[in-house]
Amino acid sequence: MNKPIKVNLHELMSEGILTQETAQRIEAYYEGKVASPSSRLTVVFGVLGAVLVGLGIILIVAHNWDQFGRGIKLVWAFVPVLMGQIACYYALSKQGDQAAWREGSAVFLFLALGACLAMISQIYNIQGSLDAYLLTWMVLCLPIVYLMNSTMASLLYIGGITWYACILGYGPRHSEEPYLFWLLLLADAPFMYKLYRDDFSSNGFHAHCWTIGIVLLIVLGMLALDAAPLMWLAYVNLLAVYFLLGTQAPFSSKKLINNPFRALGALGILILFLIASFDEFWSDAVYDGNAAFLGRMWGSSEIWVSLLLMGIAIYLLLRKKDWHQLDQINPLSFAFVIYALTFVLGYFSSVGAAVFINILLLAAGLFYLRKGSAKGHLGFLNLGLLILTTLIACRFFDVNISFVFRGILFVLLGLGFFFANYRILKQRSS
Amino acid sequence: MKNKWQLFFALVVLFQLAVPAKMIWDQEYVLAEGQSFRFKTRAYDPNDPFRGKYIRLAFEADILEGNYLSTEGWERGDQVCVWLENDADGFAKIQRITADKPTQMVPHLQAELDYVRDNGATIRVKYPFEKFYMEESKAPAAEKYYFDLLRKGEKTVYALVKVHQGEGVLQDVQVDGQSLRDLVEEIPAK
Repeated sequence: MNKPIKVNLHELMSEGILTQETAQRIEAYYEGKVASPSSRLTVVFGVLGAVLVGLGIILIVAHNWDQFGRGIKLVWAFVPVLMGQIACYYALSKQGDQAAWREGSAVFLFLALGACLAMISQIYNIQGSLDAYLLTWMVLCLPIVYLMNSTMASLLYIGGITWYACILGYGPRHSEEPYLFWLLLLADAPFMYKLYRDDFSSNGFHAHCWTIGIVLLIVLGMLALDAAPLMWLAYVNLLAVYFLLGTQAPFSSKKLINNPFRALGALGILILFLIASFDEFWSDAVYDGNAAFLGRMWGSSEIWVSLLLMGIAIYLLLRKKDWHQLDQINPLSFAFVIYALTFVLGYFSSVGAAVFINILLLAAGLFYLRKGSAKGHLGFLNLGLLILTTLIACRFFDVNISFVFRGILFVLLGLGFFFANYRILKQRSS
Repeated sequence: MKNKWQLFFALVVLFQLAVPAKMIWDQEYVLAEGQSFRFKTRAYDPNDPFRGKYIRLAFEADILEGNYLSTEGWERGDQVCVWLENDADGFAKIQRITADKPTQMVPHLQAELDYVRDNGATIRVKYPFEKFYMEESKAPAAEKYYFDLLRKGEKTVYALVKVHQGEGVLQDVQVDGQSLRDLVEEIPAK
């Protein structure tokens, strides 16, 4: 507990403002509060230490000690694993929740298993592909997540299986669909649910939200096979699910840094809409002359994934509670509906589709601008201005306007930025 | 309750030790039971960057010419079965390549199909033992030595591989009967 509070308490007590009992309770409250960040720091250093030692062992293993015989090398392959297992046992048998020990030993065992497998491959010159190595490693490490109840092990596991899926899904042999990835991800789902249920505002849960948010964006593209243009639709729908999830209870009360669904969703939708705001996008990238993918659309995985995600987005949209205030509705909430309609429209007229998209972006820019100035929030205000500026800049590629005019418009926009920010700051100070 | 986590812990420990142990067992089994083959190595594209701690091997006997079996539907990356025999000098040679395992007792290896040319007359495979791991300080010198040997062509360089039931384990790389590891030891360090 910091000194000034203690001094103040004594002062208040001696002046008779606080009773001794209340003062003690206040003291106890602050003492409890101080304990939590320091224990969090121990966890961080515990994990960091385990990562460094584990990676160090992997590097030492990579040296490939020739002077030792096969037997000795094999024994050494298992030493870090056994050490990790002993550390895990110790952490579990200690009384009370020893987060630093739990997380540290779990991470160490995780890395030690990877080193052990690598060393065996080296000793026997097993060529083995990287994906097979990662798969074995991750399957061996999955029980650590549950046994040690370890957030870090779970994050490493998700990272590992994503790497595995990327090798299969995006690598030279990308004809293989990494279906196993989804099963492996599902195996971690109970742990993530437990985090959601028990530690909703913990860093561990937020880190999982960010990881899952990014991982799904990475792996979704692997489903692109026969009807690849439909993946644009799938991505907008996934981002819409993110955005709607992030702007509803229980996530809506979180800060932006702890709410990856809102952050990724809004940013992703805006980027995809800016791409789609060019009419060439519809005429060249989506409906490339013959639009041959439409013929095999219903047999492709892309359409079913898009529809599934759209179904989830519609469900979330209908669940939203703020329908009665029409002016409060963020255009990004129903952007996916516009995109789906535009996808149909784009087949007939690419210019018409682009116009639709531009209108939505304009609406989104104005919405944030208005929200920012009404609430005196500089973040929203500047996001709104940024959307409008980018939209205008993009349109300059389309139309043939003289440089002087473009220059003047940009100067005016820049002045707009200054003026809007200045006004809000002045409002705040007064 | 306490016994419950300990049981789970014991199972996890067993699982984590059993899988690497099984990998070791499989390799040791081939080394103990397998038939030895000597695969003559050859130089490959010298521009391929050296990867640090292993020497990349390429083999003379990775191609089958004058194949008479059907290769319809075969695609690059497929697993195929390479039937092995020894040539007059006692080096490994491909007898035939099939999609399925041989039913009779023939020494064979599972390998990856590299390409099929001329309507199946020429087949090339990639063996699962193209990397020979060495200590990181010795690997660069060993590779230079290895390529000099191959370029001069005065000595025979080959990989000693144990083959058993489709599995192959690279035991050593030898130069006229001497291990490359020992030979590299004799090179004066620069």
